[in-house]
Amino acid sequence: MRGSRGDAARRPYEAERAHFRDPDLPQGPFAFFRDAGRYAWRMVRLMIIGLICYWLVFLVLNQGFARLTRRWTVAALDDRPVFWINLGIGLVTVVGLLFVNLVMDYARVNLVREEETSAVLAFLSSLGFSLSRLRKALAVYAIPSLLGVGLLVVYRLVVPWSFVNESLGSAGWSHLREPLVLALLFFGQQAIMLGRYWFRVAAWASEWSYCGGAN
Amino acid sequence: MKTILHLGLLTAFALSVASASAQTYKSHIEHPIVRYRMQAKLDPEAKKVTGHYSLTWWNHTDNTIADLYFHLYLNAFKNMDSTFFRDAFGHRRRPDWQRRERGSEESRWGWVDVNKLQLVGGADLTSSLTFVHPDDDNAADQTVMRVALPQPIPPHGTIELSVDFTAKLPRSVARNGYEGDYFLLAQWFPKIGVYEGAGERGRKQGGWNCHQYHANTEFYADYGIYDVELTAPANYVVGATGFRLAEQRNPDGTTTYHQYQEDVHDFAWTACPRFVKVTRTFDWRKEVSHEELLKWASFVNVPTEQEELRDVNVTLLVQPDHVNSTDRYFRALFNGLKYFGLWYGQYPYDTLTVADTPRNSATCCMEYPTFITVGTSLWPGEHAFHPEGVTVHEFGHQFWYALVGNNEFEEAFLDEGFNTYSTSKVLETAYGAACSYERVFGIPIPSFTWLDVPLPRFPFAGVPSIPVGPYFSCVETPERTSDRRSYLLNAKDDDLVRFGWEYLNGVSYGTNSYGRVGLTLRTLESNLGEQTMARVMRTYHQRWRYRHPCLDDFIAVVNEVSGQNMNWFFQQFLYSSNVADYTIADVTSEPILGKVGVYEVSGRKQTFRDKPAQKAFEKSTNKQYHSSVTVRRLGEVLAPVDVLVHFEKGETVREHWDGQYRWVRYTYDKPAKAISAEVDPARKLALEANFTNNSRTREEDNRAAAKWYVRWIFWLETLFFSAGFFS
Repeated sequence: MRGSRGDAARRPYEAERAHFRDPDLPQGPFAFFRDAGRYAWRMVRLMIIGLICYWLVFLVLNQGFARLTRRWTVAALDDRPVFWINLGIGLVTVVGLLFVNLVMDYARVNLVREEETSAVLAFLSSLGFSLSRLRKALAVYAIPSLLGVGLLVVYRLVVPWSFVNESLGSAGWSHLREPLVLALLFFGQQAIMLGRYWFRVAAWASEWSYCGGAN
Repeated sequence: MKTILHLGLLTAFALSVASASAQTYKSHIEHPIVRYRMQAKLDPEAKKVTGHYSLTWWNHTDNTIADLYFHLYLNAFKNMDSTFFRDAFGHRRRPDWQRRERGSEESRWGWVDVNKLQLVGGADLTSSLTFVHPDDDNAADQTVMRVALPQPIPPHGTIELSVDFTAKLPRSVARNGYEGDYFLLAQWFPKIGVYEGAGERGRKQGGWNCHQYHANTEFYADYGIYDVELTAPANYVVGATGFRLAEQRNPDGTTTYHQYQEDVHDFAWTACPRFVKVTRTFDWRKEVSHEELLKWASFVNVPTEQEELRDVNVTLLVQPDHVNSTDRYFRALFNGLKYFGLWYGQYPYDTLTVADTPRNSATCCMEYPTFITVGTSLWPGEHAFHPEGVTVHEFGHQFWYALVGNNEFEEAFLDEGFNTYSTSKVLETAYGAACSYERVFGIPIPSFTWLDVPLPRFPFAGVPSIPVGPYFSCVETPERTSDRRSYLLNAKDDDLVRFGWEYLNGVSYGTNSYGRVGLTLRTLESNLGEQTMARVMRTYHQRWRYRHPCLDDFIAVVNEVSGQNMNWFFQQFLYSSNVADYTIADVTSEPILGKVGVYEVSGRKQTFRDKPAQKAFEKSTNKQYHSSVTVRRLGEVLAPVDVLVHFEKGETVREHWDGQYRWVRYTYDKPAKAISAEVDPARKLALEANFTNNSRTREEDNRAAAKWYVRWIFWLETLFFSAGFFS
């Protein structure tokens, strides 16, 4: 990725390559936690940068615009323009939040993939990368994420809620049916969550792959 | 020019004749106390109304009256030293009230000046006007004016006054004033107070009842005739109290509307060039089937002829952005006209005018005779009774306030509370239970009225709250127990019966004037039975139409119609701040074993051990169990309650407890174990402080917890996942 630090800066860390990078190295729980510990503090620093960015988005886009438009619309007697303006502010805020999230995603990938130790540089590098390839970067980020959200919709639509509601706490409750329905619901929910996590991992993998290709 | 003039006159004549021919209202008051003949002109630029009226006032008492009292309500908005603002803000100057103001500083305040007051054909009394303060020692308050008369008014005598006044309207506040080009002119002219004779509303001596305008009070006035000519720019759409006799274009580009109404105690009007005017007729024969007529006539125990309604000309002045709510407004109004009419007696007037208020105006949701203001939102929720709730409520005030004219200063609960009760019954009957979610663009969103989590202003500017109700299912809100949340939060703040300005604060005033009264009347209904309660309400309404009742008058009707002395009920629920809380403290069931211990058998002591007794019980085909249910009274209210005990094999036993002592225990020896017990199973005590402790099972039952756990755990996981997504 552009903007990443040079080989000289990375060299001291190469002696301790992450196990997941080398299939020949042992890949057990110990290796997992070792690798996690290796990136933990960089990720925390990056998260703090992310929080500041989210705060800025709320401060500038949400609070700032809201204050401004409130001044414009305070005397408006018609609900319609006020609604559309507020909707616009809401959408701008959401877009701002998603963009920060996208940048943070690529920054995380950068941190690990490029063995970047500076969270600031990783963030700036990701910002530049995302801005220069916005449409593709957005697509790689959005498609798996939306699929994850789609799973929630599936959950709401597919689960036979009337059957579930009738089975729980009804007068004709049976000692067998109610626990069974609860258990099925619980496992179904966990399957959905697993799917969501899987799509999340898929999103990171896609970003990783795209970063590699873009380089 | 001549042709234009002729056409104008012709049009005016035609309008005049067309309107006048439809008036059918016949007065029900033999001798009206007030008669106003008024002319008023609105100046939209200056936000002022200049007016003149002649007032004929009749002394209906046996007293000789030496002075007159007038309300100058608009002076409440004159400065921060009015009693209204001191009630609201104390002595703090709150320059931030109405920060919405964009115009000059002066334009936000309101007042009314009496320019001239004289006896018709007699002395000019302007110099004798003084401001008085019957409620507090606030010398700066100018909301009550006293006029010293040169000659007292003899018993049953009449006086005629001529008054010139100028009203400056405030930026909308307390349901009055203007916003942009929209005007609501309420309590806008000097209005004479009520002189109560000895014996009226429990009064020992005659005297004026003319209170100052407080932050938590509304109004009180005598019935009479309002004959009013309103003039406004011709492009303004004007709606007002009463029947429109004529409408005339003037050469100066204004139009004069001649409104007339008998048997009312107030006059309000609205003007706005952007109103969309829609008129429909409430055709009662189409709205009420013959079967319904028979049903309700029988229910309230009146002949069918007395149950018949009348057609009403309903005019809706709707804001352009709320036109999509037009049908819902009319349906709500027609439901109000139908059910209030069937239950309490027909709406007697020819017209009803409804003004839909614009965004951000503080004029929404107010009642005046034959004229109400309502409000809605851009895309009102499908199931949230919005705008239906407010529309039915404000219409209901035609019955509880306009027709039965209680003193809103002293007994606000008699109209607001009674109307809360009636409104919820109309909504329940016409619409069924409310679903606590709305549809926005077809997507069901839980309504703001249910389980909201308020968000901090930062970072969520403009986001009111997160509704956390169950997302895609209809959560029914039982109307009979609505308003409980507000009541429970403020139950101990005040006794219910107090003057409006004597409650702890505005929230307590609201609770004790609205929701708590509604719940109390629901509880009374449960005690009397629905049909008896319906007859009570109808009798009270009919008896006190066009009059000024007080609480004692209602209690007398309750006792008379029910044939019971219900004074205990009112003492418990109205004259105290006690709460009701009954609970099932314990449910047990034990096998009844044979003899265990030492007994005298044939003159000798014999020991019986428990294990053989236990074995004998298990082998027995005639097992008996000793069950006990302990019910406790945790609250201070003493009220009779039912207790329902469930046994195995579906058997139930219903007990009736007088609820007087702190607890009662019921015991049973039966071949079945007690499973559970419930106190007040029918939820008769709508004022019960805690429904969750009303029932208990003998054995722990965690099914409900498991059900909710499984559902909530998923959404918690989702929440944490989303948080991680943004980390």
